[in-house]
Amino acid sequence: MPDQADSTVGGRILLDEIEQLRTALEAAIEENDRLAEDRDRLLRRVSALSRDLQTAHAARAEATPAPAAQVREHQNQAEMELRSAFEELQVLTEELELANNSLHHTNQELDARIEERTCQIQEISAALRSTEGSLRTVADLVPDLLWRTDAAGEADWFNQRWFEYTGDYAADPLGKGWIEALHPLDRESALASWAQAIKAGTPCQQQKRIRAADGDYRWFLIRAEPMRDEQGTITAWFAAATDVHEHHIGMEALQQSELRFRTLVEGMPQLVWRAIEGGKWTWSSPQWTRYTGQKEEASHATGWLDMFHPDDRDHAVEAWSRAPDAGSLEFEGRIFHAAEGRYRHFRTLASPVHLPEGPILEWLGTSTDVDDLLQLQAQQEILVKELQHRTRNVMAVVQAVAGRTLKESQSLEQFAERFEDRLQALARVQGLLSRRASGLRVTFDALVREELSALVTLDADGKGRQVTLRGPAGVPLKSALVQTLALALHELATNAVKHGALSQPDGHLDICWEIREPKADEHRLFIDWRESGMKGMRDSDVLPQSDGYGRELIERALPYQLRARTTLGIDAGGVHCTIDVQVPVGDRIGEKIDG
Amino acid sequence: MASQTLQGCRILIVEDEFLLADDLAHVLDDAGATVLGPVPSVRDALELIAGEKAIDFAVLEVNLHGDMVFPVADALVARSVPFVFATGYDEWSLPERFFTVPRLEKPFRPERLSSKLEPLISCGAQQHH
Repeated sequence: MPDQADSTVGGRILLDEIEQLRTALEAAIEENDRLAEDRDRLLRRVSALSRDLQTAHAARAEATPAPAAQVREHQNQAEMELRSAFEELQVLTEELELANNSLHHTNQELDARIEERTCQIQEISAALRSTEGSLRTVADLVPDLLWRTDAAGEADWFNQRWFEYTGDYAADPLGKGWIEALHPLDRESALASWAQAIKAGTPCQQQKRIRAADGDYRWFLIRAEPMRDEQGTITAWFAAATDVHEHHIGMEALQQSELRFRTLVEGMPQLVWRAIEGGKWTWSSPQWTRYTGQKEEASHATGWLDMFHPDDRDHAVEAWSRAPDAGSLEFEGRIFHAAEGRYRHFRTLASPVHLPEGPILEWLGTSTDVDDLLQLQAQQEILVKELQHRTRNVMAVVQAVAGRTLKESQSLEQFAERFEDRLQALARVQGLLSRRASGLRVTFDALVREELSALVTLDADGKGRQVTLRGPAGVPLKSALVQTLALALHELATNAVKHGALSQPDGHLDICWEIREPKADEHRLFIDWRESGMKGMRDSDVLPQSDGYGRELIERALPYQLRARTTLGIDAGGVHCTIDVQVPVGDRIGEKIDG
Repeated sequence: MASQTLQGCRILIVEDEFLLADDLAHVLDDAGATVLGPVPSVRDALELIAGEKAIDFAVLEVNLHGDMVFPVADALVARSVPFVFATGYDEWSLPERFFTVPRLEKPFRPERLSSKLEPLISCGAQQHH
C-alpha cells in the first residue's frame, strides 16, 4: 500500500508540473499575439503613409503647384515621415522575428518536456497498475478476510476470501451489507464499535462471529485501520478479519475450566494452594486468608510457614524435601486460626502436576482441618475406655450383690427372687444413666419415680394410691451417687412392699425432698422417706435386716462413697429414713467424665 | 477360713465402689492383712498415705468416679510401695510409666485374690518366715 501511495503522489506532482508548463506556454502565445497585433498595426500605418506619399507624387507631376517650393517641402516632409515609419517597422519586424524565434524555441522545449513527462506518467501508470495487481493478488491470497470502506464507513471493496468464506449465504456486503454476515448476537456491538471508531478516527479491534458458507459461525479477530492523505484526512478504512476460532473456543473452554476450578476451590472447606518445587507457594485460596488472616501475597514462597505452629515447621519443611521422590506430599501440622486465636490440627496433602513423562510443573495442595476429628477421636478413645471400665465395674458390683444376696438367702428360690430384683434395679439405673441427654445429669425426681414405678402405679403428679412424692423437679445428682442411691431406694421400696407400709391396705409412703443449706458452690439434697399407718408392727418385721444388703447400702455405702449423712429407723407409724447428700450446683456434667 | 498368708502386711485399698471395697477388705482381712482404708477418693488416699508411716502394699482402682488414681500411684512410687491396679482398663489406657504395674482385672474372685497378691508382696512378717 505505501508504494502505491508514493507512486500516486509522484504522479500528481508530475501532472502539476505539466499544468504549470501549459500555463507558461499560453502566456507566451498571448504575448506573441500581442506582438503580432502591434506589427499589423504598424504595417497598416506604413501602407497608409505609402499611399499618402504616392498621392503627393502624383499631385506634383500633374500640376505644377504654384509655390513649387511649398510642394517640395510638403513632399520632403512626407518622405521623412515615411522613412521614420519604415525604420520603426524595421525595428518592430526585427523584434517580432526575435519573439517568434523565442516562441518557437519555447514551444519546442515545452513539447520535449511534455513528451518526457508523459513518458514518465505512462511508466508510473504501468507500475501502478502492476502494483495494484500484485496487491489484489496478495489480498486474495491471504487467509484473512479483507475489505475497504470509504471515510464514512461504507464498504466498497472485499477480497476474494470474503466471498469464498461467506459463500452464497452472504448478502451483498457493500455499504453496510457485511453486517448480515455477523452473528445476530454480535451485530449490535459490532455496529456500535465501528461507528465509534469512525467518529474517533482511531483503529478498532474486536472479536466477532462471522458466518461461513456452511452456515456455521466462526470467531474472527477484526481490525480496522484508517488510511489518511497528506493533510491527515481519513480517505478510507481497511479492515482485516483473522480466523481465531480455535483459539477463542480454547480460551473460552479455559476460562470456563478456570471458573469451574475457582468455584470448586473457593467453595470447598479445605484451604487450597498451589506451589512450585520446594514448597514455594504461588497461590492460595481466599479460605487461607479468611482462616489464618495472612494476606494471599504474604503466603507466597514459604510465607505460609509463618502460619504453622513453630513446633511443626521443621516437620513441614522436611515433608517437602521428601515430596519429589515420594511423588506426593503428606504431613500433619497445626495452622493458626485467626478467629479463635489458636492453632488447629490440619492434614496437608498435595499432588504434583506434570505432563505425561514430563517433569513436575507444580503442586496442587489442600490443608484440611482435622482438629474436630482428632478431638472426636480422643473423646471416642476416652469413651471406649470408660465403657470398658464401667462394664467391668458393673460386673464386679453384680458379683458383690450376688455374694451378699447369697449370704442372706435361706434357699435357692429366695436367692433367685431377690437377686433378680436387684439385677433389674441395677439394669434400670444403667438405663437411666445411658438414656440421659449427653452432658446432662440424672435428676433425683427421675430416679425416685423410676424406682417406685417398678413396684407401684404413679400418676403424673407423683401420686399413687398409697404413695406421695413431693419435692422440686430437676435436682441434679452426682454420677457417683446415682447407682448406689438407686440401689438403696430399691431396697427401701422392696422392703415397704413386702414388709412395710405398702404391705398393708391403710399404710402410706411419703417421700419428700428439698434443697438445704444452699451455698454458691454447694447444695445439699435432703430426702425424707416416711412410712405410716402400720398396725401391729414389730421392728424386726418391718425394718431391713440389720446385717442385710439394704441397710448396708444406706448406712455404709452412701456415707463411704459420698460422705452422705443417713439415718434409718422406726417411727410411730413405720420405717423412717433420711439421706442428706451433697449435689452439684449445675445440671451439666463438668469437664471430666464421672465414673 | 483362708490361710493367713498376708499376716502382718499393711495393705491400702483405694476403691470408690463401696461393695467392692468392702469385699476386698474382708478378703485381705481374712488373709491376715491389716487393711488401711478403704478410701474412695484421690484426696482421701493422699491424706491417708501422708499420715501413715508403714504401708507394705496397695490395691488401687484406676478410675475413682472420674478422677484418675495416678497421683496416688506416684506418691506410692515415691515411697517405693508396690501396688496393683484393680481395674477394668486395659494396659493401653494407662500412662506409659505404669505399663509395668501388675493389673488385677475386674471382676476378680475375692477368694483367689490373696494368692495372686502374695508373689508381689514382701512385707515384714513374710520376710521373717
